[in-house]
Amino acid sequence: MKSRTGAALALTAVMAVAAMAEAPRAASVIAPTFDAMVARSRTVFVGRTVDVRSRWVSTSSGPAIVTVVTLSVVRTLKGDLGAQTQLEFLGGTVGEYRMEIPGMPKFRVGDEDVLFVDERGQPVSPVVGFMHGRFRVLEDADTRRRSVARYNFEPLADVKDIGAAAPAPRVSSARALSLAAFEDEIVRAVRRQRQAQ
Amino acid sequence: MRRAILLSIVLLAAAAGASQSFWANGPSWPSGTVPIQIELGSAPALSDGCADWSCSASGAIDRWNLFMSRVQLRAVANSLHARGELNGRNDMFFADDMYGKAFGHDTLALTTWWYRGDALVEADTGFNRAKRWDSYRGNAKPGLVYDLRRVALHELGHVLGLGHPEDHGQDVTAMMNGTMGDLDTLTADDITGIQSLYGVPGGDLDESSGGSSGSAIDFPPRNETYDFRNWLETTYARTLGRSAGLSYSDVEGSVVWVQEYLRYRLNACTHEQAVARVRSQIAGGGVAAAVCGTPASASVIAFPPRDQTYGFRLQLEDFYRVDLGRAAVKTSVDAEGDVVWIQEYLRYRLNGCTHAQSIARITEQIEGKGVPPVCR
Repeated sequence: MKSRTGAALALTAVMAVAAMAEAPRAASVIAPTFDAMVARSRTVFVGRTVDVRSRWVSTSSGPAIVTVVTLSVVRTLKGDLGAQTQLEFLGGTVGEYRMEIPGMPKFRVGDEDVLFVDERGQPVSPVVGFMHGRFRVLEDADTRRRSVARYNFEPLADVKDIGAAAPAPRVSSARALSLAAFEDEIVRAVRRQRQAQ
Repeated sequence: MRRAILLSIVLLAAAAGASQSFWANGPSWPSGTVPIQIELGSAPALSDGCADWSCSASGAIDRWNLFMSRVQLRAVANSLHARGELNGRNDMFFADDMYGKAFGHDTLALTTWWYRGDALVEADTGFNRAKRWDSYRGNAKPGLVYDLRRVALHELGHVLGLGHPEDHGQDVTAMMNGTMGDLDTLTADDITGIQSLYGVPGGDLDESSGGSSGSAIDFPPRNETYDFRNWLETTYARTLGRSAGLSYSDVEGSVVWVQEYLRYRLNACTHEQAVARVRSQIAGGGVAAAVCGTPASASVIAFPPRDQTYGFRLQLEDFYRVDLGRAAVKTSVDAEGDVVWIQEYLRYRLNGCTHAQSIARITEQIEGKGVPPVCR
């Protein structure tokens, strides 16, 4: 009996350690892989935010606030876009009211991003993967090298890390994928998926 | 240059965030109860023994309540209200869209916060009806069937005012991270976060209960009693080979209310007074009542006879079934084992034993090696 109890305690301890070593992930949004992100996007582009406005809308469930982000399109990597495009997100601030959705991408004038977008069905967030399809463009002040980071400013080393089952080790922005290399990966994936159709 | 400064600020914020861990979003709820209208409807038989979605969501509510002091969530099971924005209610529902907008392919659930000025006035949670749902423990089954209870745990953390740590450059293991994974329970980071907003249970009982509330006997933090109860569940199932039965009071409810019953008893309340106070506390959303006096000083703290605690536990079972309308959940520990060992654990803890020492002594008892002495 004692050895069985000891085994149970040991198992409990192992489970506790395993839980602590587990990937720091929990709930509510599924992170798509790079290929899925490309496939599900109607457009992929490099854009610079030029305007952000929030307004009340009436819905069948009551009043809501939406925020319309206007972006200047720097380069289109998938789909067709003009010089500017607009994206509408649920939530925002109007007067003394603020409607906020945890994790919803927030844009400020001057932000530069690579965006994977699917606005079909008027989703709460037109960014594919809710927030995962937003990649920040960062520029090193000394070298002027332009690199890519995830939506939360975590530098991205490889497109294979996007939506990977286990979180990738963190890297410095110096080791992050360059903007040019990231764009090349996207264009290649678009071509590959088009040929496979 | 501006980009360099911005990047530096972001990296500094990320570094600072890593040490701070959790993320509190903004204004939180004022002290008291926060009703959650559970409008999830009926369910097929769920894998964890819950008979309906209310049971699964209520379990998540109970879990958060274990760790908070000045605010308690109150489950309004099987609510018939219709969902709506800015209606003054905190709705929890299944939906095809969130206020006219589609969830999108990758979103399981969303919570909307409504603030007016500096006040949090409403928080609604929608679950994506297009996904397949169940209620189960263990690793997630992405792409197959999603566990409503763990997603509810996450969304209720939002309702309470917590954001995603990972959105703010933090690298911690937390239920509050926004991306789907295998975690099915709250972590130390989640608990630290919620206690930064609402305090530690028992930490301010003297202030809240007034009168002769001064409790001279300090109980261990509820999360440690809860850890013990989880250990007991594993021991009953794996070591003793007990099969799962049904209980209307879930594990969280049992831990919280047996401990509260004993706190009242050890602070000069009779059995009847303690039962009445606990019932009032449950009905009132968790706000503690005054204790009945100051306990007599003694070198060893004496506990009430086990049959009285067991009697309370049976009443708790009825209260959960009849008054709260809870569905039964599976557990390998019967009601008698539940109270006997929680009381023994607390007896050791209150008499000088650590968490580990208490578990070791109870292990000896379960193995039939007699009753080891307390630690002082």
